[in-house]
Amino acid sequence: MFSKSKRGRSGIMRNVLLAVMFMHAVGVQAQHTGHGAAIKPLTEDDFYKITTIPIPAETALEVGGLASLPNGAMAVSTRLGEIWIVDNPTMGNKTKPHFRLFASGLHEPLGLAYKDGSFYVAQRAELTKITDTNKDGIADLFETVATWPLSGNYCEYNHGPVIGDDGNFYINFNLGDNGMGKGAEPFFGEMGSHALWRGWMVQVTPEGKVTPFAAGYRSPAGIGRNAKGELFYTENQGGWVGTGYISKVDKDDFFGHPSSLKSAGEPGSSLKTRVGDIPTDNPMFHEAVKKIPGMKLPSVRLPHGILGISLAGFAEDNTSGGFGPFQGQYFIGDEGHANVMRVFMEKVNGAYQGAAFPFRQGFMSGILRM
Amino acid sequence: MTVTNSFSIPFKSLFTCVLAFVLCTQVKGQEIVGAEKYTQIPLESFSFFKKPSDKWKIAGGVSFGLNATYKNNVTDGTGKVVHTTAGKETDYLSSANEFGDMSVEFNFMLAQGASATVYFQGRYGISLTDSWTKGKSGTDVCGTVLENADGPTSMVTPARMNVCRAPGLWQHMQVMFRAPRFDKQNNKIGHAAFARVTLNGVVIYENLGLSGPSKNSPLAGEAATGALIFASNSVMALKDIRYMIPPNGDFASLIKPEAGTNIRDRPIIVSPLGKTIVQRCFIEFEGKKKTFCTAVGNPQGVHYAMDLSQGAMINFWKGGFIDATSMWTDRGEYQVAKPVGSKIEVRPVPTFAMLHDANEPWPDVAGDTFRFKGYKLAADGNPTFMYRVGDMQLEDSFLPKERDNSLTRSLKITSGKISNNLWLRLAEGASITSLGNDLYVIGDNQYYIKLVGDKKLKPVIRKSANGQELILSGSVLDHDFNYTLIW
Repeated sequence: MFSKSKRGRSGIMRNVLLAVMFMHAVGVQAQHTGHGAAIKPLTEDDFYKITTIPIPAETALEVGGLASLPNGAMAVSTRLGEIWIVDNPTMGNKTKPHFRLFASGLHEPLGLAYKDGSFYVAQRAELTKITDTNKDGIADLFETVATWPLSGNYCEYNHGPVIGDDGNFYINFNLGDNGMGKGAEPFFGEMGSHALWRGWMVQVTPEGKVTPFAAGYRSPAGIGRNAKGELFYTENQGGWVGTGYISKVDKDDFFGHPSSLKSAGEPGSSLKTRVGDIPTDNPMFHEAVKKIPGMKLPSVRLPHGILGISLAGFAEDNTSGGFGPFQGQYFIGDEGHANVMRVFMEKVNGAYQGAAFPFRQGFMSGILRM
Repeated sequence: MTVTNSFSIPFKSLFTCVLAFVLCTQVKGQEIVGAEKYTQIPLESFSFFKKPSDKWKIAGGVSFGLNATYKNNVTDGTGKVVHTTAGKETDYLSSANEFGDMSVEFNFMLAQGASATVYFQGRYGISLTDSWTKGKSGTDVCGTVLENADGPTSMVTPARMNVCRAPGLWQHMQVMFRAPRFDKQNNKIGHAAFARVTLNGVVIYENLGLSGPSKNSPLAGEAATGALIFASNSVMALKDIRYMIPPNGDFASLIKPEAGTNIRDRPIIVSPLGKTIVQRCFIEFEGKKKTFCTAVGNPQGVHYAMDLSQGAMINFWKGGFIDATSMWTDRGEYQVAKPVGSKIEVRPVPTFAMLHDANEPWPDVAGDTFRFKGYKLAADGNPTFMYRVGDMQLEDSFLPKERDNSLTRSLKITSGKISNNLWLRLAEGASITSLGNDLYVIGDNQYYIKLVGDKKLKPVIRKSANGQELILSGSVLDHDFNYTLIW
């Protein structure tokens, strides 16, 4: 978790927890030593400190999703299928946080949302609403909101959900890897869509209707929204994706990985892009965008290997200065480099564009969620 | 003289497990490379054996039933050998030839309380005893390697788990036996060993050295060869006895490594201790992943898995719960939860279907009117699954019972009017036989289903795509409808 602490004041950046870390900004003056002493160069650590949260030995807490609760607690879903509720997550009294196992047995929930007393997770094969109906502090009702087909490929991860201002859920469907055997993806190679809507963002209504929303995804490890309710996602470099990026997402956007187009003509899709629209003469990206109907340029691309290597979760700074002079900017975690980038975006002619900066490195593990 | 174990089994294969394959019956064994090299022992007559006492009989059909309520039924024919009566005397069924190293597999059926032994070289015994109601493991369970004759200094190794099936069901055993080794002067230079003992698809021993013969073994001393001997004083039956002589005593090369398993991964075994565990996962069925599943593990040690997309059971087993190693170690395939125990697989077709009449074939896939709605947990963690079928809301839960290793399934309607077209399917097998008292045996004595309740239920046994199926009109759901799986 990040927090910025100035003398006597500490603000928590809501909804931002980095796996196991706290981060503090500390007063720069305090770091200077007196005249005559060797001057120690200032580091990131002098401004934003990383603090490890003590985690009970009984869990690895491999974070798949984070949700901050109205009572100040932080809820964490894990790769091995647990939901923990962490009270006192900021260790405000300089005491340890308290971990309570709320639910378990879920199938790789790589996201967590909270609304009106219930959690929502995207498991491998379904969106689930999880509730403690008898108010004993432990979940007892697991309601299936929607289901979807899978091939069973390990890489068919689901990132999300996030809840839009429209009350709907949004989930990123990762492509599968090519583990389906040679020839399964003769044209597209590397990663593939081995089941309906893989490589898409889908929208799910509270009643369970699944509607494909946007396509061309490869390994969309981050999904989120800003204070205005606009949807964004982050993408991982790889086949058809030259470098990772963050982008605003609108209905029927196509981002470039053609494997998802296997589902483009299926009932429910209003996407204009088709497999036949993909040029085979290797055009430059900016040219391809003009040629391919529905294709969208990502908002900000981050140079691969320089600013991260596998972009993942992100969060908008809406602390009004509580976390430094970055109100309205975005912080993106990287699951490969274990660092955090900062992205400034502005809207020009209706489209977001911007710039990315290194922000903080030195975390103990890759950062999937913020 | 120093006696050492001289196993020649390469380390690489020491801890691999292998996939199950179907033998002639539904009892599954370990997949063995080159299984076609096995020699089937003919059971048209006792030609393979020395002439046994007349309590051993060649038979065609055999049925013992679950307990003494049911008569032993042995019919003329060939293919099975039955020890027909219980008594104080132990009768031996002894091979005419002697063997050294050998891999043997066979199916056996025990009457309630039966006790028998299979001796390798007539000296090293493995118990074939009805331990169905015994604990989860121990030295009194079926498959236990008998105590040796060393007396007070002997050490007994319990079978890794009690996977004994219920009386009257076919069970499968596979044993890889390594004979003791002797030098040219006939000095013993290597212990005998059970390289691997598999019962009902579960490895219960591996590379267990045998410092000497079992207590009270039919043959004394130790030698390079000896007869394969079945010993029984109880009612029991054998069939499909096959053996092979491993080339160069190399058993490891006979064992096929399991798909998706890296033997260097630290095993992750999920064990329900205080509470029932509901673990969503992929489950393999007939070599394919089912992607919309859950496994349910109970502290009672009686577990099952569901294909939730069909509201159907996919398998049930006793023993450990699941091995989540491939699911939770690194990324990449294989990503399935594997039952840790002796499982019975059932084809996951819908439990509920709307049929126009009792002749309409059962659907393979649930129709559009079916929806899995989720599950709720009781205080002990036991789940109740919720479904919608048309306008009907249905609930489905299981009550595990330790000791008698049964699982009682409870189905009920919670809202809506029961459609006249609603049917339930309880089981499918190559054949289904009513044994009376609402007890049915599924397949070739694979498992039992018992209908519970005082209502006069009228299930229908009818032909299905894969043999026969047991179906029941949905009108039974006007109250809780219960049936028990027994195996």
